[in-house]
Parts: sequence; C-alpha cells; structure tokens
Amino acid sequence: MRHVPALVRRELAAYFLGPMAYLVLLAFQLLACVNFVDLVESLSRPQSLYSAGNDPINLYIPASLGFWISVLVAVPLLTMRLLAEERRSGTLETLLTVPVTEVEVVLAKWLAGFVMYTLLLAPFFLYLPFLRHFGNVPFDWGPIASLLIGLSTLGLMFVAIGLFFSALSRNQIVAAMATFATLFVILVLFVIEYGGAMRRQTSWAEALRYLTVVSQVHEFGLGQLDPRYLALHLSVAVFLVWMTVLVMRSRRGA
Amino acid sequence: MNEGMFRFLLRPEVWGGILALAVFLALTWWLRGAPLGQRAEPEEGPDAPTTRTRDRASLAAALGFLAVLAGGFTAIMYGVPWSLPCFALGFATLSFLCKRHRPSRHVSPTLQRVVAFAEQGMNAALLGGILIVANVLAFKYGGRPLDLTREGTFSLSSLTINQLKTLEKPVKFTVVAADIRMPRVLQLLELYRAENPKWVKLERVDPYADPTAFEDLAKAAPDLALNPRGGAIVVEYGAGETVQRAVVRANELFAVPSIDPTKPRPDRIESRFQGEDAVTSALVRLREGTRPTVAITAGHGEGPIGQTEASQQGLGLLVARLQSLGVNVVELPPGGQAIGSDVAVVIIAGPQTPFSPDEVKRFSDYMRSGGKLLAFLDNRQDIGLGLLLKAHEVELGEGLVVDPQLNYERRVTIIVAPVQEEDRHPIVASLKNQLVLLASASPVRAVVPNPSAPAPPSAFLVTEVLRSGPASWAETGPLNAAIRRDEKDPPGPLTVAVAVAEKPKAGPTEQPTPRMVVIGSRFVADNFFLSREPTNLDFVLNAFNWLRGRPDLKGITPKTHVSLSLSADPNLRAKLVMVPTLISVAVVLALGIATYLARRE
Repeated sequence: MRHVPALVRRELAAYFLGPMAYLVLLAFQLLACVNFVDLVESLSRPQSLYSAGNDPINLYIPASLGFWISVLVAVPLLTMRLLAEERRSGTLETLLTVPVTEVEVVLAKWLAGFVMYTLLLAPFFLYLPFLRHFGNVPFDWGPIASLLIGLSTLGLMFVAIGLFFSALSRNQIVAAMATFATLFVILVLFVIEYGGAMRRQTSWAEALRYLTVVSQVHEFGLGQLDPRYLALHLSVAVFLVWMTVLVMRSRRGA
Repeated sequence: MNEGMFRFLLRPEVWGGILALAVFLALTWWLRGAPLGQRAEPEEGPDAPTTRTRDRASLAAALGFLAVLAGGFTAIMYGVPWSLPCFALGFATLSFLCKRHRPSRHVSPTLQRVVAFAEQGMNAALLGGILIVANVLAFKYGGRPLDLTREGTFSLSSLTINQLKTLEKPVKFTVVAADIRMPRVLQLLELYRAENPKWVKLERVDPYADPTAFEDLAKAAPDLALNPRGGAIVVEYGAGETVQRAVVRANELFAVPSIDPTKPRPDRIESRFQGEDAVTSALVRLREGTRPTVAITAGHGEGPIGQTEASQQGLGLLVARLQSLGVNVVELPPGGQAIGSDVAVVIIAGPQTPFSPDEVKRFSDYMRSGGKLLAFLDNRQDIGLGLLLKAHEVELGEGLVVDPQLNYERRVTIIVAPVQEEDRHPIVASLKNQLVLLASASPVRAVVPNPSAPAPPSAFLVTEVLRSGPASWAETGPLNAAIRRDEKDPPGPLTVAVAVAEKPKAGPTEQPTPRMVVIGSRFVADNFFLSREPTNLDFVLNAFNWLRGRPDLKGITPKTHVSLSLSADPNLRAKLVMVPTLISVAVVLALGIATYLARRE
C-alpha cells in the first residue's frame, strides 16, 4: 500500500494539469451560488415552523434539484477516464509493469476520484460560515456535520460505481453512460418505487426507504445519522472496488 | 390480458427468472465464444479439449453462478435457510470447475475463461454475500440512528422507551393529519415505531382525502370529539373487543408564543413541541386503565376550573392537561364534608379567603388517613392552614420574594425561579435549566425545631425543590418604587417550593412516602402563567405525579425548535452571496492560471 499516496498524487495531477477540473469547479461554484441565493431568499421570509423537517437550512442541499443533477452528471465525468482512458491509450499496461499491485492502482484511482468529488461539494458548504457569522443565523451545526458525513460515504459509493464501469470498458463514453444509468436508477427510480410502495403500504416500503439514496440524504440533512446507511454505502463501495480489482486481474491474466 | 396473468407477471419470481435467463444466455455466449445453438469455434493444439468438454464447462460455470445468485434471491425473499441448498450447489459447481480445469487452462482459451470466471465469481459472491448478510442484519437489528440535532429531534426519553419496550398489547397511532404541524408529529411517532416495530403501528388518515376512513375512526371512538381542523392522534391500545382509545389533540402538542402583530416580527421564534409528553402520557393512561381522582378546592377565591382563556384568571389549562392525562378532576366545595378515600390528591389552588375550622379539620382528617396534598399558597392572607402545614414540618416564611435580576418583564414581584443543574428531586429532575414563573411568591421552609424545647423525632422529610435567584430577597417592608433590600429582609436564594415525604416506619430500607408539596405562590398554575411559561405546567404535573407515587411519569422535557430568519437588508444579502463566490472563483482561477503558466514554461 506504500505506493498509494504517490498514485493518488499522479491521478490528481492528471485532473488538475488540464483545464477540465477548473471548469467543472467553476460550474459547481456557480450552481452552489444559485442554490445559496435560494436559501437566502427562503430565510428572509418570516419563519414560524414547528420542526427542523422543513427548515430551509436542513433542506438546502438534500432538496436541491440542481445539486442532484450535478452529482448525476459530475460523477460519471470524473470517473469515466480513470481506467478506460488508461486502457485505451495503453498506459495501464505500462503502469502495471512497475512494481505496483492492481489493488494499489484501483485504490489510488478510487481515492483520487473521491477527493475530486469532495472538492466539487466544497462550494455548497463554503457559504455556511458566512451565513452564520455575518448573517447572524445561528443554525445548528449537527445536521450539517451529519450531511457532510453522509455525502462523503455516498461519494465513496458513487465513485466506486464509476470506477467499476470504467474498468469494464475501453470506451470512456460507454463507461460514463453506464455510470450515469446506474446512478439514475439509484437516485430516481428508487424514489418512484418507494413512493409507490408507501402508497400501497407494502412490506417492501421500509426496505426500499432504506435503499433510497435521496431519502437517506434527506435524513442526514435533518441531523439523523444512521450508521446503517453508512455501512450500506461502504459495503457497496468495498464490493465494487474489489470487483474492479478482479476485473483488472482477469485482464492482466488474459 | 386478464387480471390473473397481469398479477402473475408482476411477481418478483417472474422478473427474477427472466433476468436469470438473460444472464445465463449472456454468460454462456461469453464463456463459449458463441451463442447457444451455434457451434463454438474448434480450438487448435494436440491437448485442446473437445468442443463438448468446453461447452459443458461453460454451461456448468454459468449455472453455478446463477445458483449463487438464486441463493441470494431466495435468502431475501424466503429466508436464509431456504437459500442454503442454492448456495451449496453454486459454490460446489464453481469449485469443482476450478479444480477440474485449472491444469488445462493453458491449452484452451475457453477453459481459461471458465476457470478465471469461476474463481473470481466465487470471490465476488463470497464478499458480496458477506456484505449483504451484514447489511440485512444491520437493517433488521441495527441500533437507533445517532441524533446530531441540538433540539434532540430524534431522541426519545427513557420513560417513553421503557413504556414501548414493555408493551404487552399492540398499539396503533392514527394521525388525523390536517395542518402543517403534522410532519413533526409523524416524525415523533416514527421514533415510537422504530423502538418497538413488532407492537407499534402507525397510520395516517386525512379527513379530506379519505373521509370514509375518518368517519370509521370517529364511529369507533364517538366520545373522542375529533376535530379534523386542528388534527389529532388517536392512540389505540389492545385489539379486538378490548381495545382502548385515547385522543391527543394538536393543541396539546405545541406551545407557540403569541406574536404581537404591532411589533416587528422577531428573527427567531421558539416553538415548544410537547408531543412526546402528551402521547406517552396517553399511552401510560391506557395501560394503567384506572382514572385517579383529583379534588380542587373552590369557594375561597380560587380561579374557576372551567376557564381556559389564557388572559383570564383560572385553572382551566391545568385541569385540561390533567384530564388529558386521564385524571378525573372534581371540585371540592366549601363545607365540612369528608374528603373521599378515592381522592388521590387534593389541590389547594391558591385560596384568598380563610378556610373554616371544619374545612381545616377535613383536610387534617384526609391527611391523617394517608391523603396527598398539593398546595399553592402565599402569606398575603392567613387562610388557616398554618397548623396543618406545621404538622407536616413546613411553614410559610415572612415577606414577599422579589428579584431585581430574574423576573418577568421587569416586574420584581414576578420572579423567575431557575431549576438548577444539580437538582435531583424527581419533581425537577426533568426540568433542569428551565424557569418557573412565580408571582407574589412567599418563602417556604421546613420548621426548625426549638433547641430549648424537647421535640419528638421528625416524622417527615422536607426537601427543597425550587428556590429563587441569588439576587432575590424576601421584602418584609412596604413595596415602593425604589425597592431595596433592608437588613431585616432575608437574603436569597430563598426556597419557594418544598416536597414533604413521610419517613418510613418499618426501617431504613423502606422508601419515604410522598405526602405534600407546597409551592409558595398561589398563581403558579394560573392560566396566565401557564400560557407564558409552559415549564410551570410541567412543574405542577411533576409534583402531582410524584405525590401519586409515579415519579416515573415525570414530565418529558419539551423539544424547543427555533425557527431562524435572516434579517438582513439587500446590501448584506448581496454581500453574503457575492463575497464567498468571488473568493472561491478567484482561488480557482488563480490556481488554473498558475498551473497553465507553470506547464507552459
């Protein structure tokens, strides 16, 4: 594992030596700005709510359509090139000739993707200290911490999904489309299915709620940190990272 | 297509079967190098296996992998024991293939694929299985979520948890939802259900969207007088013929301060959610089954018990809360009639005129027979209970308690008594750091025996439960504008409420019996003060429950939610948005340009 930090640095350099990372960061900053304007407008209206469930601060990110769309688009873009591009250009073989294992390569790419994902989320949280200190809105930090933890583990899972598809395909576009489709199913179809199950009061409703990412993030945003969700995210992430390692090994064997 | 066929097609087994068939076809195609029904290309070499061997190995690998997947599906749908044969078959097949064909994998690309697939499929299935089992176990038996909110939104009190854990019959909460406050109620009841999902059920009825269900509910509980406009929770305990019902109305759940429309709207509004207290109280009441009786004195200047207007003097809010707890509240009219033995507690609710000797005697008789007394008294008027109090080793002190620091709207005679962090008495243990409003308060103290006269051993244990602030004192002189403490005025903090328990006769192992609580303000439970400071109601109810011998029913601390608003002019709002944005954009651009220049050089 001693090569992992160096490999992570290599991956991050690959992101930041080109203009794409800066453009994506600026796009996310713009999106976060629009989202924050919405929050300021909501908070400027008189509040007389009875619970944190409808508090604009707690809904700032989980209920933002822009945030979810950007995650849906950004994760495939971030991860599509991780392995597919290396395979297409033939640099993967060169990388594997040096004394590094497949596990190290995959772990480094996964962590680098996660660091980029975290950097993309940062603009959303950047405004909150300003709001608290200069806007004199002493909101509760607990739900924000819970949301940060939840979004981090979710990011680990999403990046692992993207990395897995990037390992399966030589074509970046195919990898991105497969990642997008999977995330779309996870984010959107589960919400629909959960809504239907709730209406029908089926026994699956509870299990579907457990699996519905949007509902999980909503709970994180309210300050309810369920370790079961974290375990689920990390389980899927570990499984897919391991699957990616297996795919790499089989490719090397072939 | 008839309905039966449609229902059949919607079964998960059908979809699972279709998916399995697709996976099988795709796998065999990939492993054989040709789709099923088409002959695979022959492999060159003297030791190359026959096409038949390769086909059999490919089919076995695909079937073995499907058996593992079928095991996972069966485990989810029908339980782990049913899945074990599928898992055993799948893993045995894949293991056999690995062992059988590993020596030949170098002479046949097909067998190499089969062996690699079998090995990695087993690894992945094993890891996936472990992770799935761990998640299913966590989902079914996992602990409660961590509550990171300042308000404690997702936490229940130990009283509620104990009640829910010890349920012996099913409980159904039906939320008759009608207004914006109901999401908070549903959030609370979800916590109840999570605590004991086996016995607790939660339903929701919208009287407008589903009037039939609402009418059925109203028919089942005709005495509940449901008010669909405000919303309510119907608590049903038990099942079938023996089911018991209680209703908790929305106005019992929330306490919101009134906002003066003539003043600028505040940028933060505190609302108190008392839902857990109200719902758990209703549940306890249903589980106990019996209705204790409380008698409230009348005819001596006490506030009317039917008056519930917050602006009017009266005891209606206290009485309504007691009734919602399942207490039978009766008035104790003037006269000398004996107090019935069925009366659990007598409340002397701030009398202003003296009791007659006969009335005092009936109180004494009641107390001698083991009765319990909750008294709201002050020393403005001698109401004739001095001897009764002294018999219980309590007396009212001299003077009027004033506090220039902790008071209500700068009125020094309406003091704010803080419940201290170190207070452990059951009456105040759940009210730590909260405030009780007391108007025209008198000191209350334990009777100090005269050291020169021999006295019988003390029969009672008098415990201080509430005291005034450190800057207070008991003003013994006339009140005037420039109120100032004199030498003869006893300094604060002063005890303003005591709890009296009878020492056990049997021995030190027995517990003292609660007998009396004296609060040195006759206005403590008045509508005005209950509406201004909800802690007053919690304090009085805790005293009542302690006297009943149910300290476990101590009030549950309400959850305080602060709704925050941003009171900023457009200039500040623009700064709040633009300053972080510009800083961030500048940092990203600077880094980008620096990288570009560095690479160019």
